[in-house]
Amino acid sequence: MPETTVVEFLVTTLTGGAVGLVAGVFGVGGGFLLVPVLHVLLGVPVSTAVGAGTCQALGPSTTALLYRRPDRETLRLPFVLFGGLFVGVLFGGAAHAGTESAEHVVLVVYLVLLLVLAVFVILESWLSSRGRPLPRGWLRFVPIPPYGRFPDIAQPRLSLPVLVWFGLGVGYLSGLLGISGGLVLLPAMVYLFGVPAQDSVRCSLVVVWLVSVQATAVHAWNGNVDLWLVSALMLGGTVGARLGSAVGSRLGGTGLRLRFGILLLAAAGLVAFQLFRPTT
Amino acid sequence: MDVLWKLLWIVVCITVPVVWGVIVHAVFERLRSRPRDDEDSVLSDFQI
Repeated sequence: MPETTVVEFLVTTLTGGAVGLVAGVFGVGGGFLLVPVLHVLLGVPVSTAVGAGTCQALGPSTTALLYRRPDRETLRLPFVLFGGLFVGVLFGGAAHAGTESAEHVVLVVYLVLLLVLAVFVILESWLSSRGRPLPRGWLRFVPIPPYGRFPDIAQPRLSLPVLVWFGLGVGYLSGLLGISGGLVLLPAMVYLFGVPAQDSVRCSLVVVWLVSVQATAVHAWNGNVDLWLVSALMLGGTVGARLGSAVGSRLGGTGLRLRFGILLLAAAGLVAFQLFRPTT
Repeated sequence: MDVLWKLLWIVVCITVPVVWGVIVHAVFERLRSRPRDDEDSVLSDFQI
């Protein structure tokens, strides 16, 4: 990006910092927020925003992986999922290849995903506050062999085809939308497969790193990665996330998930504004 | 040749954020393990 000015670099750094701050407060990656903000507020093309979002996610996910250092047993489930994730990321990344309608498709999928997640998070938060938490492990007993055994995550067995198809879906969304997948993966592992929350976090860290590497490779191959943009986002995002996690640990409390649901609704509103605003 | 440049670009695009992540981890680890400074010692003396 040789035409990038110092001002553009600073604006992008501040944007990355703001997204990192919000993401740090809620303990999420922030990729779901980054692409709409870059596209709608800064006018970055969707493919470039998706490529930058994917590539910059590799920085914090590497830090998180080094910090947590998952053991060998934790790697079993991510490697099973990776079969589907690998193919999904390839298809999702290829959907960006040059067509005009790709941008519209990405925004529509973003809108639907953010709305579904927002409704789920708000509903889950509301039910939990009334002492009626949602049941977990909806897909735990799907009778489709062969099965994989994961004793370390307190599950007797899980259907391997279901896990692979699930990985395919998450991988496709990651490749298409430039999200590292944790936003979908974490609640899905808890509620669909009944994996305990702590194990879900450890597994999703590994998955997010693997997906980020592969999606970065796919988008770099397609020419969607702008390293100046990525550098600015990582610089701002690191500082912002650090500040955000300090703020988040002070906020704590039960209302955090409800506020996160509202944040998802706001992100969906941003995407809807871009989709439905009249073109001049 | 074009393929080689693309492969090289992939390596660069993966390496830059990974190196950034490693550096950030190293800095945070160093901050976390840093011993208390003089001001903290003075404060703890007062508490005693």
